Amino acid sequence: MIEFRNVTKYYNNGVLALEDISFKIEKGEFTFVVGPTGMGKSTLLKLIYREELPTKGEVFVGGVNVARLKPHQVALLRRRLGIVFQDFKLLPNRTVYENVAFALEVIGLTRKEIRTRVGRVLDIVGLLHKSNCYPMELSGGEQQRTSIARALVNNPPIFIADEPTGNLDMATSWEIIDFLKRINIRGTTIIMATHNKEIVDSMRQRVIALYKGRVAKDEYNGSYE
Amino acid sequence: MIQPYSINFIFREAWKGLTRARISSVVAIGIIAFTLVLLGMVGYIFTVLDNLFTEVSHQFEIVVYLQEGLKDDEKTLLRDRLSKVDGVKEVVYVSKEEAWERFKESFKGNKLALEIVGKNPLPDSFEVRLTDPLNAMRIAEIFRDLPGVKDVDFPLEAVNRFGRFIKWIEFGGGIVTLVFIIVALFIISNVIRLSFISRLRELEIMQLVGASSLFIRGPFILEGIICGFFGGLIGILILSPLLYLLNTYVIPNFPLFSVDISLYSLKSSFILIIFGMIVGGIGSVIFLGRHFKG
Repeated sequence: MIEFRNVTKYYNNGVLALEDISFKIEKGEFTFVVGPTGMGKSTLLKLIYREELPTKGEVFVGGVNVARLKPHQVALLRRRLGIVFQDFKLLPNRTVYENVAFALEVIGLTRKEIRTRVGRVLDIVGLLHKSNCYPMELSGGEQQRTSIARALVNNPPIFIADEPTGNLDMATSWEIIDFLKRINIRGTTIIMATHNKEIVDSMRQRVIALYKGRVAKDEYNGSYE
Repeated sequence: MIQPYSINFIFREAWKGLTRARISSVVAIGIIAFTLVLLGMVGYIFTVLDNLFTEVSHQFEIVVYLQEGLKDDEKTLLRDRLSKVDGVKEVVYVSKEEAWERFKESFKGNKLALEIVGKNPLPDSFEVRLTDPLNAMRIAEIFRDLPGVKDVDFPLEAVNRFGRFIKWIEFGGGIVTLVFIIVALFIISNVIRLSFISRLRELEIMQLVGASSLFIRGPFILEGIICGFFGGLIGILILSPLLYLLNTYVIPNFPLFSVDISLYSLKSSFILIIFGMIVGGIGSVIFLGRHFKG
């Protein structure tokens, strides 16, 4: 599903983010990418959704070398990826419903399709009753669930989470992780960057640890340390 | 493939962009309106001068005097040759009798003049009209060498000066208009920049969820086009009465000036609006091309 072949990434300012990274993630896997802040976790994810291009090496998503994609193909790639962030990236002047619908509006779906799909996904994340609330009126967990709903609304086969629990307390974090587990059980490949040791240790999933831009550890059934 | 809902989305976003940065939108619309008024005025002046030039150059004709005693077939041959020269519009034969009649007509009531001249001294001639009077000198030289031609007469200096004068005015008007079109493009670019900045968050999310470029760029381009539309509309509202006043009160005072009424017709208004919209759209595209990938 996702494959890195000897990927090295320097930023334009000469900073080395990743060095000679290789790994493969199969369909349906749940993978944690761990490591201290600034060790290349976000960069690794950005290479998957082609926000960045590798300096050396190749990144394959669904068997396609993402460096070769033309702009409109990048758009198509991203429709097959659900992406969530630590800061939720919700539009403050739109309601929960409108935030989720936005992702469908801009890929040209009809109003009717949008209504059914948004309703369904808000039901899944348990926010149907808050459809008309603005992000400001929601708790952190609810905001993250909204952003998860937006990421899921296209039924993506791959779900990318960049520190999704970074701004949340422990109880809420667990709530979010429960959602991700449920999504994973339905067959979605999940790759999640985090430095939440407790979550990683208790999940016993695959763990790729980055240290100074290199893979320090890649273990199935792994733990944080 | 494009849903009505999607078009609705693009219009909504473009409108939001326009209304969010009101002052800059108004400035952009104003500058487009001004540019189009200028364009209309320059077009008007062009038309006036063009008509004037046509009018005046009708009086600039080359007169080809024939040698005495040419036979009819020789005259016909010469006439054919004259007509075939590049740049000749029309050749009219004036016989010596006709020329004499004209002469008498213009000196009617001046018995003395007629008596002094006595009998008809005028040769047969061809009056040649040209498509472009600026070619008069070149064509006159060609005529001079044709067999059967006694002399060629044309108002050289007047033609040249007048033609050059008009070309310069048109050139100057063109340059000024061009400068204002460029200024308008820059200002529209700036309006789009403001609306771009105010929509950075939306754009980031749009790119993340894989919006097509129609949705990402569409609203900006539409915003420019809408500016152009309103600019064009206002431009016409200013221009029409202005041209009407000119046509009614100024032009009639100059007998040689005349203007095709169609210049401020519905059709040219339409063209002006379309032109405004094109300028607006291009302004947006310029901005997007420079600042926006994807």
